[in-house]
Amino acid sequence: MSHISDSQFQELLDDNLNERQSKLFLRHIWDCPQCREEWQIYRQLKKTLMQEPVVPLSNHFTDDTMASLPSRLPRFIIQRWIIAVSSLSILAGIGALYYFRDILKRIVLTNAGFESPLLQLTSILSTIGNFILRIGGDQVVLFLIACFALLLIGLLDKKVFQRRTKHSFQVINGTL
Amino acid sequence: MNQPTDTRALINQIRHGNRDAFRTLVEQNKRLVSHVIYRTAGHINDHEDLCQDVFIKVYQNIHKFREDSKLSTWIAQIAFNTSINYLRKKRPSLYEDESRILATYETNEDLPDIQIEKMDRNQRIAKAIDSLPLQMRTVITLYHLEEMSYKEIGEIMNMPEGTMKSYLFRARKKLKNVLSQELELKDIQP
Ligand SMILES: [Zn+2]
Repeated sequence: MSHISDSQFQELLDDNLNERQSKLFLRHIWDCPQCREEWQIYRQLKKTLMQEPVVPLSNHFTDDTMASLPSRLPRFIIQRWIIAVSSLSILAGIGALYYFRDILKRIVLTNAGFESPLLQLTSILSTIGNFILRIGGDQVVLFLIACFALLLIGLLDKKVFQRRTKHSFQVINGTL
Repeated sequence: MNQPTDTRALINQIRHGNRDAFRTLVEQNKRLVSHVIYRTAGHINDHEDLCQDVFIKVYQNIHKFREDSKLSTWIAQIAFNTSINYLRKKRPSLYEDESRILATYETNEDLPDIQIEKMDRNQRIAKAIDSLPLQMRTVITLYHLEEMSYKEIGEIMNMPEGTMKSYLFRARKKLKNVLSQELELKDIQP
């Protein structure tokens, strides 16, 4: 048998070989002074690598970490973000209906047959828009804007912003 | 992956706002995080801050943790990415050095000369590990200190298992040569 190669030594070191192979290599190591010396160095290396390196973490690390945690779990913040974004969409939708009400009316009037799904949708939207406007007109829009402003002030406080920008989670693709 | 029952319970408690449960998570994983940061970013003054950042990210993203991977693997992955981002932003020169070391290593496998005469064995090995490319020293740490598999290490570093194994073998071969050198020196000295 020729001498044991580096990768064979390492497979043996990691217990990756089957029993027959291991026995064969160990017998050779026993008989061959050169491989025996190599093997001893590898085992010494493994022992050294498994020892703790000096890793400087203070005794108060856990306390400091707990103190620096955000006061609330972010899932709650994200849910509130969804609420905020939804309100904005609703508001924008109503605003758009109000702004384009004349055009919408004209589209509905000139396409009384509702051939395409898009026209059907336009018709439904304009009906909803007209309904809301008929109830309250400009006051409805102003009321919604005020509600949304309050919601934003309540949700997007400074702390949330700071935390989200400071610790924004970036997963890199390992393309190092 | 099926999480151990206690790990699953711990995650659930954290998700329901139990901060003591998170304290337990920090206690259980701070050694791992510290090792990953230490081996990737090296000896830096911000070591503890960076470790804290990792746990804050873990806390903020605990709802994103998918239970098909191991909790420690996920935490180590966040630590690894945090460290890489730190190097890129705060120490771009160091980060470029890392890429260069790996590129050089790919071609000739020679490490920068190490002044080894006046060090003991552990110091020599530590110094030799420091001079390995970032990927290799991370693999060595996770494999031997954290007893992770190639698959887990591959997940953390987002690289194939085979590459992990090749890095580990090449790194250990290099370190073995450092130890052999030491033995030769002993033979020469009276
Ligand atoms: Zn031999």
